[in-house]
Amino acid sequence: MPRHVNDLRNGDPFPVKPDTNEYRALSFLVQHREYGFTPREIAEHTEISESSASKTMARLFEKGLVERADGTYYVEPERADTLQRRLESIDAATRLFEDAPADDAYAEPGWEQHVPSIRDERAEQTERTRSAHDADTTAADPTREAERLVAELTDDETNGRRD
Amino acid sequence: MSYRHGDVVSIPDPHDRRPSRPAVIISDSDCPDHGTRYTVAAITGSERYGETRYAVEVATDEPVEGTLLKRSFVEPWATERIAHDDIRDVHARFRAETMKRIAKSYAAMVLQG
Repeated sequence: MPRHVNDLRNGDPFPVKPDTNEYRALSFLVQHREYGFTPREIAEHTEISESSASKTMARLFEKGLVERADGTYYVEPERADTLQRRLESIDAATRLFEDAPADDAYAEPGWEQHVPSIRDERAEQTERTRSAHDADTTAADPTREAERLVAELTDDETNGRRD
Repeated sequence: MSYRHGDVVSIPDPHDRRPSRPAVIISDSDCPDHGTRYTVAAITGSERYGETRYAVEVATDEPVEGTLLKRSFVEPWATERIAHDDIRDVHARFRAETMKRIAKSYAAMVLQG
């Protein structure tokens, strides 16, 4: 049976952290994917200082995230969309953390150890049991179910006004 | 392993400063990029956040697979798109009844907000 590509790869964290020069430079190159830039030009268009730009670009090159030719850096056009999605995901994850409250058991270090992973048992699930779980969590006709929920809400609101 | 609709997953801090955050996957295979990117709603254990209008309460042992850390609240107003590789693990899976309550909260937010 064919396996999903996600079953075959490791979920390595993205090797660039937000709010760093590497992040700024990579974002700039992804946004301007049709062009290559020297470190000096990248510094001119970002918050990166000219003295840091060369080292920043060398690190991105070593990490295999950008290409280099004649002292000019660029992202491979075929990879630009993928890189953009990863950068957007990092921004999204950052927002999740910014929105999170401090008075939260999930903010305590090690909470994951008290809630074991179900990854292994899921991998052992046969297609039959997986289908059974899917039947529990998937509405038969999501569109009709959504319409019913909206009607229910509208009725609640109407009844609330009558009350 | 790809994640599924209703999965409760942990998302690591991109800054590596804080413990990961839990979230529930609300997208499914009919959504573009499913398996590569997922739409998730944040989960909190904060009672203070649980008192807000659209928070959806979920009991600790309510998931059909796995459990939660404690009584938790899904926050429909904190919805994001996260890449597959930015998810660390899967800890539980919500049942259809739970997902229906979340759907109702989204609908209420859109209709009455």
